[in-house]
Amino acid sequence: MSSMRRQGLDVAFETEEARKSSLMLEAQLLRERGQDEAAADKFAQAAEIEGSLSEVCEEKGLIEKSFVHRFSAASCWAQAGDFYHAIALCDELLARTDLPELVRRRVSDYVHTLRTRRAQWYAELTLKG
Amino acid sequence: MTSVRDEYRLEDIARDHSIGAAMFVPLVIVRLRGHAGATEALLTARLRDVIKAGETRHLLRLSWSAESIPNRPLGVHERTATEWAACGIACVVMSLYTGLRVRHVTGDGDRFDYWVGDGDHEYGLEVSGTMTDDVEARHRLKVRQLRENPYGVDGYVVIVGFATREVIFSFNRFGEVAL
Repeated sequence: MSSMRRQGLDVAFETEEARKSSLMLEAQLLRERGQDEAAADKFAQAAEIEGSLSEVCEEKGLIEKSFVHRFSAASCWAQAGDFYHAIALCDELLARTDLPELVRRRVSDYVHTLRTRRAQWYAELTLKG
Repeated sequence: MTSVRDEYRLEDIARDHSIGAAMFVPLVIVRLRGHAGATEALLTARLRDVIKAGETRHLLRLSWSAESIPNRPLGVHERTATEWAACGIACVVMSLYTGLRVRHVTGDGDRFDYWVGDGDHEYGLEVSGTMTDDVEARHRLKVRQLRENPYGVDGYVVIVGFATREVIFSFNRFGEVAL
């Protein structure tokens, strides 16, 4: 069976992995209820955790899993409304020569969407200014 | 085709999985209860290439405590309520039929919703719920979606038909073309 390796991760890692999942689900619930500020705060907390999880995976040689958490960090920053950190993380991933082709394509599409949205947002701000 | 009766206590999804699954419990109850005070429901689970090759049917009795019944509105849109109730049922069938844990939530665009696994390996899990009877069509769509995931992993698809009280739970290999 084709799977993602996660050997050698300890209880502390699992606890943080569970915490970020709860934060992401809570954030989705808050957004659903129109509580956007609180949702953004939860997504930002989840993004910080995903960044740390990615580093731990890389240290342990779980490179593909580190990409999963790094890309999720970018997505959480985007959902928190922070394009700057989201795009920076995607660019970091795209600079890696060991990024699998399918993941590269996905990250590339995602960062293109973020840049398009950011351009629209800038244009809107300029119009209002 | 066999028919086996299995039982599961809904609140145990919080213990059996790592994602804060307790939040799905009231949504499952609202979607499955026949009347306000009901504390159990019966579902037909159709397992495809899970446990063994091919399809097997299981009768699943799901029970919950009266204290878990929500006594105020859930505050989510109908579609979200259905999707998250399906996530609760997905946690149930993962525990019962694979023993794997739902380990963490995926990011945007991973082509599935959760990572599931044991201590050594992880697989994808895509979940969807419907209030209509289009479970087969929805299943085909979601299998195709899961098979296009960027990480090249195999995975599970769970589709819950709340109107028909059935669950399709399948194991699918990455990239394999559906017939």
